[in-house]
Parts: sequence; structure tokens; C-alpha cells
Amino acid sequence: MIVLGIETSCDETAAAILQDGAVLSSIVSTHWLHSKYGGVVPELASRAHLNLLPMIITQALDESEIDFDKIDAVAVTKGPGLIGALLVGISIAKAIAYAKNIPLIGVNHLEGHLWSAALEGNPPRPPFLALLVSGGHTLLVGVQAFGQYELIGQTRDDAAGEAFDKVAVLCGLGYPGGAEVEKLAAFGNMKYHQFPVSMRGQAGFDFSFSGLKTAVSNFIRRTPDALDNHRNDLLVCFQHAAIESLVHPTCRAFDEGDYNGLVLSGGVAANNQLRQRLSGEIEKRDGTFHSPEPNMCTDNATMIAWVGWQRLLNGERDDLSLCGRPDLPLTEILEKGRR
Amino acid sequence: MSNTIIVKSRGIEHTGEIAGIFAEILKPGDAISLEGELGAGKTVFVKGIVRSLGYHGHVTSPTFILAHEYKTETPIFHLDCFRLRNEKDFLSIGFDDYLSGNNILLVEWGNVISEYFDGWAWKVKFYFNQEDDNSRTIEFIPCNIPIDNEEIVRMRQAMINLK
Repeated sequence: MIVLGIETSCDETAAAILQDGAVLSSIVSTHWLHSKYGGVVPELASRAHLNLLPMIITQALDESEIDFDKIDAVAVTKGPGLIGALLVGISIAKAIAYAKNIPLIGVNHLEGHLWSAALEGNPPRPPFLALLVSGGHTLLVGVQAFGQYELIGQTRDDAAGEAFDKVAVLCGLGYPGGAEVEKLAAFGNMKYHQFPVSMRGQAGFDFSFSGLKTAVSNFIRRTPDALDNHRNDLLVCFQHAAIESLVHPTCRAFDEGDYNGLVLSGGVAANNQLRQRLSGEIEKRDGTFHSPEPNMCTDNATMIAWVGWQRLLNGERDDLSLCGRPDLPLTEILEKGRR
Repeated sequence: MSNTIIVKSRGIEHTGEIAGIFAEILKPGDAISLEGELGAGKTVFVKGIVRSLGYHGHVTSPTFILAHEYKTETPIFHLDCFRLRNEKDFLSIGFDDYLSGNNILLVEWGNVISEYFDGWAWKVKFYFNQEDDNSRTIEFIPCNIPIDNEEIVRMRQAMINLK
């Protein structure tokens, strides 16, 4: 079965072609890519998606060398995300499904991330634990089987990626500068300052990053030479606290559940320090550690096409009344599959 | 007498209580601009409002996703202009649709669109204090509200009594 996947939930316009679960092509255009060069207008959400998506789909078809008429089904992100952005993807998906008379399936963006390691050479074996960390989400999910998810923990305030991006702003690195934090932190001294690690020693599996962000802001206001002379030191100390704030609840959840391994996904999964720290902890516990390639960690349409394919195989499909759901929770899927 | 109300919050919980009092005077159609530096307490304040209006789910920062909706009696939209540069960005993502209508609109970094939009009911500004890291000064500036509005007087008194 050949599935066209479409993803337009936030800042990325993406399309992918999968044949029986194997990737034939995957194209992603990131709106914010140009922002760091200054002056280039980062066209936002809906309008940018509308301009880009037809081109991105054509490119995905070209690269896969699949004829448009050979597509068997269309999978599209239905939420969560920005409503205007979601509607662009959904409208185009519906138009294709209607015109070609092929099945349409709406996919939960978060479910896509849970399975983003499924296409790797060594896919995770359920039950596994998934930590999804991005600019918009910080979720800890127990995956019993396809479609059977348990939301174990989530952020109470800021997302992990948001903390990285905002601390980058506080340190004068511009937005979004989360990736830059790791590069500069490599030159910093960890003994410079100790920032609070949230939720350490507490029960439960939730995360919190707002306090850490405010602690960095307070420290900068009170330490006149912090930015001029100690920026990299500050960044490595922040990064350490942020990573530990993710590691502790994750390891607690891993210890208390019965999991074969851990999947780390989302934009923040590109952080090598986080990968190393978590893979060490999980391997110590005889679990397998999985983190997809960085381009599969960030938003992409491959994961949407893959989940859509699984659901189509299960006989599911949507009709043309499919709607965007900005606040679509993962728990909706959960209720269907609760043990 | 200036209609501006200035209160000092001792910390996160206190800010939540102050927000709860503020929530009582909000009406459908009110747009509130929340202004202040990173970490000054805007999202904490929103959390306090939303809780006191009866929503008990998670309230998190909308910086990345730009908008959250909380389904309370009067729907609350929680927007965030941090990633937007100006009103042009605001318009380009269709956010002006939110500005009309009978919802309560809580806009973090509302100052980003203030040149374009002057229909705020209130501007709420958050300041760090020199003397300690936890306290904040919160300034409530009524806009487009009659000067001798009794509700404002009551709110001012309730906030003072809170101490």
C-alpha cells in the first residue's frame, strides 16, 4: 500500500510517501529556518503552508518516483496544532482523497512522534516508554501496543524545547536558539552555578521548566558579568539542570513500569547530551534506547504516513467531514485502548 | 485618582490568588494584554484566571503552538505573541478573528500588537522586584473602561484585603 502523508500542524510543512511502511521520500520545509539570518520574513503558519504544501507534495512524489495515480491513501495530521495550519493540510488531503477516490485517514500528531523510531533498523518492541520533548510538547507515554497508550507525565508549564529557546533569548542568542545552546555549552564550566532541578525527589512523573527559566533570568539580572564573561558557563549549567529535570521523572517511570525500552523523540531529542544521559540510564536498567535520526525527531510527514498506514491496515478511515482539532489530546486514543 | 491598580505579589501562589480576583470582573468579549519579561509571571497569572473560571485541566505556555482554548462557560483563548514580530505576523496567522467575538482573550506579549489593536479592556504588566527573586509587582491598567467603575473599586479593595 502506498500512503501519502501530510503534516502542517505548526511550523513545518511536510509530505512523505511510504510504501508498505518503507520510506520512499520525505520532504520537510521549516518556516523558521531563515529567521536566524535576520531580515528574511518567516512567513507564518497557514499562509506559508498554503504556499508551500502543493510544491512539497509534488517534490515528495518526484523523489519517490511514484506516479500520483499510484497513491492508495492519504494520511494527514488532524491535531493537535494551530487550527489554520491544520486546515491547510486537511483541506488538501481531502481534495486528493476525493479527486482520486482513495481512503483518507486523520492522524494524531503526538501518536506520530511515539512511533517515529519504528522505521529505524532496530525498532522498539512494545511495551515501551516514550519521552516526547519538543518546543510545544513534553510528554511521557507508556506504549503497550499500537493504539494502546497511557499518558504518564507531562509538563505543568513550559515545554522542554521552549525552556531551551527562551534561555537562548535571555542569553542573547535569538529565537529559536535551543540548538545553539548545546553548541556553546560544550565550552562552558559546569561548576559555575547550580540551577534547580525540578521534580527531583518528588512523586509522580510530571515535568516543569518555568522555574528553571525564571532562575536563569534572576541569575542574569543579579550577576552583572554573567552574559559578558560567563555565557557558556551559564548555558552548560542550565542545560545540565534541564536535562536532569527530564531524566529523573523518566527513569522513575521506567523503573515503576514494565518496559522493554525507551523512545526519545521530538526536536529536543537532537540534543546529544540528553541522548547520552538517557541511553546510559536506560541501558543500565537493561532496556533498549531508541532515538530516531534528528530529521525524524522533529516534525515530519513520514511518521504521520506510518501511523496512517497502521490505522488503514486496521480498517480505520475518515470521511470528508474530517476536522482539525487544535487541542486533540493523546488521551483520546488512550481511552480506546486503556488496559 | 488614577484608575491603575498596583499590587505586589509575594510569589507564584499569591499571583494565582490575585488573578482569581481579577477573573471575577472579566466579561465575554474582554481582551487582556499581558506584558512583562520572560519569567515575570504571565502564564502563572493566566493559570490563576482559568482555574478560577472553572477549568481544571492543564494550563501550559502557548508560546510554541501560539494559541490554547479552554472550554469554560465563556470560552477562554490564551494567545502568545512572543514569536510574532508585529501585527503583520498576527494578521497573517488569522489571529484577528479572535479579537472579535464573545470570548475572553488573554494575550501574552500583547504589546507586540498594540500599535494595531487598541481594544484592550485591560493591560496587565508584570515587573521583577529588586529586593527578592520571588515577588513581582503587577500593574492593572484599565483601558476603555469608565473612570468610576464600581467594579474596579471593589477589585482594588479585594486585592488589598488579600494581603
